[in-house]
Amino acid sequence: MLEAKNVVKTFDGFRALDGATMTVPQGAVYGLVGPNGAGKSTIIRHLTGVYRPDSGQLLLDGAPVWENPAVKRRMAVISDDWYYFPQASIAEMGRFYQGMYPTFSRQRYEKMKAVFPLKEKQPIRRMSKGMQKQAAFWLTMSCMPEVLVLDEPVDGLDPVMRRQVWQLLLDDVAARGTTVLVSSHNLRELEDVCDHVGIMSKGKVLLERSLSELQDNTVKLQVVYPGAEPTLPAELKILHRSNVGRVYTYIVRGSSEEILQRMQITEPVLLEAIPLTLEEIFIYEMGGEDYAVRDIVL
Amino acid sequence: MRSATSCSKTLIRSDWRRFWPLTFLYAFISFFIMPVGILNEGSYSYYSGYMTEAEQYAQRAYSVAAHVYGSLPAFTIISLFLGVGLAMVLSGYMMKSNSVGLMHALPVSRTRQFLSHFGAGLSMLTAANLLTFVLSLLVEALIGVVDVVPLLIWLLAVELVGFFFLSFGTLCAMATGWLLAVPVIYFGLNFVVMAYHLLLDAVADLLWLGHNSVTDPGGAVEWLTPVVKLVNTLRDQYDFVEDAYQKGATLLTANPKALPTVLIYALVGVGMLALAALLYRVRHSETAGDAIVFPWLRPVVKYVISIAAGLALGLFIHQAFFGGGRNVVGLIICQMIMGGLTYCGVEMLLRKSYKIFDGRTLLGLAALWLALIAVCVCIKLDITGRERAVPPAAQVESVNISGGCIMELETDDLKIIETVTKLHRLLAKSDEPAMANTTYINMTYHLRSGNAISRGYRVDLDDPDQYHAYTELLNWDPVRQGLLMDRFDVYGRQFVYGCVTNYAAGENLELTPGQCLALYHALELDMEHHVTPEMLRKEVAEVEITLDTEGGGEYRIYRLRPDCTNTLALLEEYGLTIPEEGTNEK
Repeated sequence: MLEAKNVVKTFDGFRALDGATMTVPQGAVYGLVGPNGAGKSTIIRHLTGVYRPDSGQLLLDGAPVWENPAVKRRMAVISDDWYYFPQASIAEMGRFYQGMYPTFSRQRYEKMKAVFPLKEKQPIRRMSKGMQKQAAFWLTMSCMPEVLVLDEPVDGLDPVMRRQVWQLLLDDVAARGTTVLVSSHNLRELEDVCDHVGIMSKGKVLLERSLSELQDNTVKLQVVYPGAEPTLPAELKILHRSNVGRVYTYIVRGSSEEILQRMQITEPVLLEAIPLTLEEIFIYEMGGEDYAVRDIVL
Repeated sequence: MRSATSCSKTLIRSDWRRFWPLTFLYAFISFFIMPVGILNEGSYSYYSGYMTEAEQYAQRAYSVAAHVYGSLPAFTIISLFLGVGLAMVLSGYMMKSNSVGLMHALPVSRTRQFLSHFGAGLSMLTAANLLTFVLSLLVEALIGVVDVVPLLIWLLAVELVGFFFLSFGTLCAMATGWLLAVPVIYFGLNFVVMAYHLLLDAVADLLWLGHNSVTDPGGAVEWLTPVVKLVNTLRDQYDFVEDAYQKGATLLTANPKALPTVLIYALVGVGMLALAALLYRVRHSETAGDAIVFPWLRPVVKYVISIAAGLALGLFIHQAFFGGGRNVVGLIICQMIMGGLTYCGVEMLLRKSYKIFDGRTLLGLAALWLALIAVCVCIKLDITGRERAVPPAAQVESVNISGGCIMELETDDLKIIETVTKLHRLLAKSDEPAMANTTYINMTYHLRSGNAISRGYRVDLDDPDQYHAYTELLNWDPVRQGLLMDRFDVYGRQFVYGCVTNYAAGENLELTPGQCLALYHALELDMEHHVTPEMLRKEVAEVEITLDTEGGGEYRIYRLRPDCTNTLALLEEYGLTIPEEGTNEK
């Protein structure tokens, strides 16, 4: 289990992390989402032992990550700006990773040659951004980490390679119980692969739940009334309301069963609960954080 | 289980793979200085016509050893550059956020990473030095002059000097998140003390009577300018062994003072390395890209640079606007302007923004201006008493005097030193004399403490005390002999031209070389009794005697005293009558 507890980090007076707390359960694929500048990359750099927190704890199975090679040997990371030595080829970086990670599997490295259509001896700097990302996956997954931390991992990959990479990751999770923490803005993609989600804003983790819990906890209702919109039950926690003609759409927090039951008193002509996508959950949750799409006339 | 403080072989291998060209370059340069140089020096057959074989061998051994020892100052300079070069490439990963992200996410503790990178640098340096040592030994064997001791001393010295500069460079790299700031900080720190010394000296030069700048100050300033101290020490690395031919030994031996100096710097290097390791541990990875990564260090950098720039550029601007005049207020204003501009520039650099004009900057500027005013006022008021201080003769190891009619003379004769300090005391307590009837004298004391003091005054010859002290100085044998061109070795050279001009009578007489020599001897006899300043000052010339030797040696006398009987008689013999007033003593 990978944990951040009340992590605070300040950069030149700016509080980048403001008591961030999150837990990535073992074997989970945890999607970390949040607006730009929320602190996703910062917390990832703390969780991988690159940054030292001003206060708070970063733990892997209860052991601190900071300056703990034994813990770091179990983790591998692909950052959003993955670094390679300027003259190095994949083969040379492979030797470097092999020297660093005792769990590095030469066998897996060789197998993945078939997955990634890259020239092993070609300098990485001569490759395109997408190819460099593939090289990063090739090398990092060859390290056979127990915990894989990915920051915007599939940026620059073509759709086929994206699917290929996700497939590899999910196979690894299924076969070895690898824990994956992934930060991305591509919520549709995360929805397909993540089983846990954490939403960050302004240096804090606003909420973190399993995806099913999250989807069960917020409901999108489509309602048609015979006449004008009646007064809605006061106990309903409505996050968003809109209407097109007589069709009203509500985003309501709570379980769908309970909400449908309460809405019956408004005597609707049509009442339907539609599951929310991760993107919708993100948008409506962030709306509560004063981060919503604004109608601006230019 | 790996120790937390052992090196990571993977990191060392990686550093070697990436940065071997630097080692190669160093080894390549070393190859030309050492093995090739030794081959050139040792294979030359000296005086083969009239030397025995043993003497020839000794001569070649001398040349080889002299070359090996003599190369050390050059290797000190090379190490200065190699140290910062290695430090830059080995710590370059700390300067970019993505590279520092990779390295610090690796399962290697920071201490181990630090030691691994430093170890890689040291191993590169050592490998090149060992290779050079082995090749030099092979070349010595090839030419049949094997002398291992100078080579071992060379190896020890270059290794320790290299270690020191590598530690120094590494320490500088820990302070910054900009790769290009590493050499700036490194060379800045290497020369900051010397630079401040020279700048304060230059201000004192402007504001103090008689002050001369000392470019080779010695003492603490030299010790705190490592490259200067090391080059100066290693330049005198060897001593000649007088009876080496008889002993069959090499004609050179290591100077016992040189290696301890190198060893002291190596120990300082160990301290710097420990400090660098500590800074590496406390340094934040996110500071990659910052000019100075430790907030507590930023004001130090700001003020050190701004004050230095204020003093230097202020002096420059003052020179442009006020010439060489002693205008304290003008100097302060110039220094405040230039220091202030530099301060703002540094502030912009540190904040990475042009928007710096806030209360904090104004406060900083005020502090800077106060510091610059304080420096100038303190120097002007001479609060340390250095302007008029005269070192006690007992503390002076040697004195160098020159100026006016005195040709440059360096002496450790206590009696002359006492005469110089006596004259110096008189000059220091007097005000600057008017230009009329003065002569100039420079005196540079080399003190037993290793420091040097240099002063230059105009001696007021109308002041009886100064006149007598100066005359006393002129009449000490080494000074007087200097006046008589002993150092030009007149007996080794021929007089080629002579001329006597009697201004009062309007007569002019050209001398043959033989007459020149005779006149020189006559003057030598007369001046043995007494030399006066007037005899040597063209400004008060009545009779001008000029004797030129081949190769440019020149001797001039402008007045003759009545008791210069030998000279006067000879001139009369040559047909010149020196009028009464021309022989007047003051």
